[in-house]
Amino acid sequence: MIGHYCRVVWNRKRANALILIEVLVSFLVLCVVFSIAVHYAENWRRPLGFQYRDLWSVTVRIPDRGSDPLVEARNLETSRALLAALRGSPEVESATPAPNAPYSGNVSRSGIYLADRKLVQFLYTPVVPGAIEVYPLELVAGRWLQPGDDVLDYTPIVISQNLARRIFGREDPLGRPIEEFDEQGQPRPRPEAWQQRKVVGVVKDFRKTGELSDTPYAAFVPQSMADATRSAAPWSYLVRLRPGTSGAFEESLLRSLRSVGPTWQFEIKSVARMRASYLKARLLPLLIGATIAGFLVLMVGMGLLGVLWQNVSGRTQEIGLRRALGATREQVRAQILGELVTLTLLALGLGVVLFLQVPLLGLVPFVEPQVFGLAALAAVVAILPFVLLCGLYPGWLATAVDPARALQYE
Amino acid sequence: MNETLVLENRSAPVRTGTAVRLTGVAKVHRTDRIETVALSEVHLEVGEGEFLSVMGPSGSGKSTLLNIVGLLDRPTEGTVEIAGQAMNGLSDRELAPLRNREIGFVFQTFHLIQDLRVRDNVEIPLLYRRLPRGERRALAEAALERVGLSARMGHFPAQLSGGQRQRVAIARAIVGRPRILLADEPTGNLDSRMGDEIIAILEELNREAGTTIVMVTHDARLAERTNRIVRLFDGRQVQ
Ligand SMILES: Nc1ncnc2c1ncn2[C@@H]1O[C@H](COP(=O)(O)OP(=O)(O)OP(=O)(O)O)[C@@H](O)[C@H]1O
Ligand SMILES: [Mg+2]
Repeated sequence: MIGHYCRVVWNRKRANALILIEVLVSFLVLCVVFSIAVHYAENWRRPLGFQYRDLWSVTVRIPDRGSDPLVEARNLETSRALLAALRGSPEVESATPAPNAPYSGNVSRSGIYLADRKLVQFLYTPVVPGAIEVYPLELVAGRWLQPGDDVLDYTPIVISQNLARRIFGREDPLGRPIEEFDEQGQPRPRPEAWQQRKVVGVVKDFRKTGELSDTPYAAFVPQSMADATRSAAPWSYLVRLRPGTSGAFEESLLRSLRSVGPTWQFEIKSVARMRASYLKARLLPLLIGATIAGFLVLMVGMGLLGVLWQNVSGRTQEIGLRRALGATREQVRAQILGELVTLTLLALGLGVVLFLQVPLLGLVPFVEPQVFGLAALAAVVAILPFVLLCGLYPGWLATAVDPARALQYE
Repeated sequence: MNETLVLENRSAPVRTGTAVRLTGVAKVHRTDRIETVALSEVHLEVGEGEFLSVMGPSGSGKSTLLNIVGLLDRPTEGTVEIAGQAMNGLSDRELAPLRNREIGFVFQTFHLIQDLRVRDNVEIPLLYRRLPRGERRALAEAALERVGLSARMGHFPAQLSGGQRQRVAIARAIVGRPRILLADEPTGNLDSRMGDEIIAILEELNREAGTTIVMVTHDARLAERTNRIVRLFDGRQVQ
């Protein structure tokens, strides 16, 4: 009996290959759509690592920014006064220089080659010790940056958990230097002792690029407010306001900043508002993408429905014949079910093997591997009952009538 | 018209029971609006071992009659008895083994499964009997030999001529050694020489195994060779 059914399936290679391909394509399309959906859902769910409410970004334009060390020293002095002015306002809880506000769309990255010759890029954020309260960041190991860190004979660095994992794996990163290598995997010497970075602390992941983005690697280093040879004058600050501070404060803040740096230009923006426009800009394409994906899934579903429907209803005569020759309804339905399940499992098995190459080969490295697993599972769960329903219903119709009617079917 | 039962030639044990009895059978096909009366008031008794022809113009209900006798269709009215057992009200699960064991059917349009080789097509009735594979194969090959198609067992139906397909259909109908063979125009698509060959096979089956045969035919010459002729006109039995 099984042998007979296997022969039926085998001899119908063409029609069955069509079903197989249709199921496979549907599966892969669903996998891709679900992966993207799961990826974004996961991103949305994961903590940001900072608070965007009551946070302002202040960018400054320094007119005479040059290579002259004297000018740079003067600029740094003005920056010191600026930071003091920011902190002096009663509405301000804390403030720090920090390049590129969250949601600004700009990031400063630094990249290093690891011993395995892979390039790791991370957000490079020079800040002052008070920055931990400004964001606020959550320290999970070691210590945060402290006063005096900017004059040590090495550069203390605080890294995010994911960067610690990427560089040191399961080992304890605290106290470890961050070794740099060249593209050939040879250790690269540092020109100055103070440029040698040593990990002093680990903070929770810091998702400055927003909730729709992947989690970037991040590192915080001391911003020197005294030594222009170590740090240039910052061109951006973050200010944490007391909760409930009104937007009207912007004007008075601007005034006090202008009195500190009369030739400098300032721009103040609310991070919450920057977030709103970031989301608006990102959600529209996502929505369009989701609509397209929805249509794609619909089309794939209709295609699958059509192929299955045509295949099974095209076999109405065969179904009538088998019943005429002594098969019961149940036997015929079991045969259809068996064939469909075999084909579908074959296609899905093939699809899973194909699709899991994406994480296995690391084709999309920024998406976590389990996202693909979850998407594949969801696709299987969606397709299997759909195929069975689409196939069994015409089969059920064909067995519901008397064999004579089924045999007359054109 | 040869309306007497010819029993002398049969080597099989003489049976005198009734193989098929139809009483007051009517069949109305209902589609959306139109009702087609395909059969009405048919009374028919077929004796065991009888070879009967059904004749009548196209659309007169011959196939409908055969479908009802073959348990492929249910009458709208009247009763059907096979070997003395009433068929009315039997469930699909009860009908299936009767179709399988009691009845062999040669369809007007063959109904071979195109994707199965001749041998596998002939085996189908045996699949639903839980016979071991080897036995199924042997029976199928024996049936094909009987219709003279031993050399074509590995072919697909599309690779056969019309007459050869007809013979495959007969092999499939007789492979399970049914007591009743229903043949719907088994010679319809054949030239007269091939038609004679087919009838010879049926006659041999009737003679040697005592198979009851009901054959629909348009060919009066062939009908003459059977025990009795039933004529249908417009769904009514006229003789
Ligand atoms: N499924 C159906 N629905 C509606 N009418 C039907 C159906 N099947 C058969 N009929 C009608 O029943 C009547 C008898 O049909 P049947 O097939 O029994 O004729 P027939 O004597 O076998 O004809 P032929 O010699 O052409 O094979 C015809 O008028 C036909 O149109
Ligand atoms: Mg007919």
